Amino acid sequence: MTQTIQKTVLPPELVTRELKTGPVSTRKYAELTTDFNPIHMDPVFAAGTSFGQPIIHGTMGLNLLVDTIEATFGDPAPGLEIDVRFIRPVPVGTTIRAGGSLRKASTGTYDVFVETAAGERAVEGTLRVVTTSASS
Amino acid sequence: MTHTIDDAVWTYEDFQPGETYGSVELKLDETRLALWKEVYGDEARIDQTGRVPRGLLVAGMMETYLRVVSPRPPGNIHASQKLMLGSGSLKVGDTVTATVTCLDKIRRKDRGWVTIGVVMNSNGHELLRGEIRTVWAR
Repeated sequence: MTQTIQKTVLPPELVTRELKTGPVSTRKYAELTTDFNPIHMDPVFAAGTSFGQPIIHGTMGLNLLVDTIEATFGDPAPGLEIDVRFIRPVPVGTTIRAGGSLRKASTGTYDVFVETAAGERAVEGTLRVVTTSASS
Repeated sequence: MTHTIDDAVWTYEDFQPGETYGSVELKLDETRLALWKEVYGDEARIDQTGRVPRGLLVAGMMETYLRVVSPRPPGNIHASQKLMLGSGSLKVGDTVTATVTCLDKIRRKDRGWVTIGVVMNSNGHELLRGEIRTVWAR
């Protein structure tokens, strides 16, 4: 019996993707998740909060990160372990960018982020790419 | 204490680690895919084989949590998130079952932290295991 180990190639940087957020895409994301919290969509309501203006859903940025990861590793998709903190609210209308850098190849660990065009981090954390193995 | 009144706001005291609060079936259909494309664009991991972006699972995880643990108090803060995604692909039309459980709760500096787990399965395979960590407002 021979054993085949399928190793996922680990590039030093994840493919970077950008997203221009806005009221329309924020409403569509609300429909997708059924999260109609007015803090995301109602400027009058949001003006009365500490944010002062509508902010995007946290997972809207997280899903841009998931998309960068898929764009990087392709199909078949490896197993992924993502652990992030939401560290800054992002006003609706902001352009965000998701990416990451390989920190430790031996464990498949990346430092990952979502940030604004101005470089302010909104989401930070780690990704671990779980290498699959199979025997034949 | 367990949350028993359907229209009552969920409070910190309602959660008990280890308790399961419900399951939701979600179909990864063309409607969801169309919404995804409107947010992220056509290039976002959609190909001719009908493979759907794994972010649809993440969106479905949030939908499940929001539908099962509802209503929530205003002022909750979604502080952090863990996602464990299995290998493999999903196709348009696949149905997944998502189950919501309380994993942990703790009071720290007068704030209640609640960790909700959502596990998503399809055809006996675990697709996603997510942890939503929230500062609960009440």
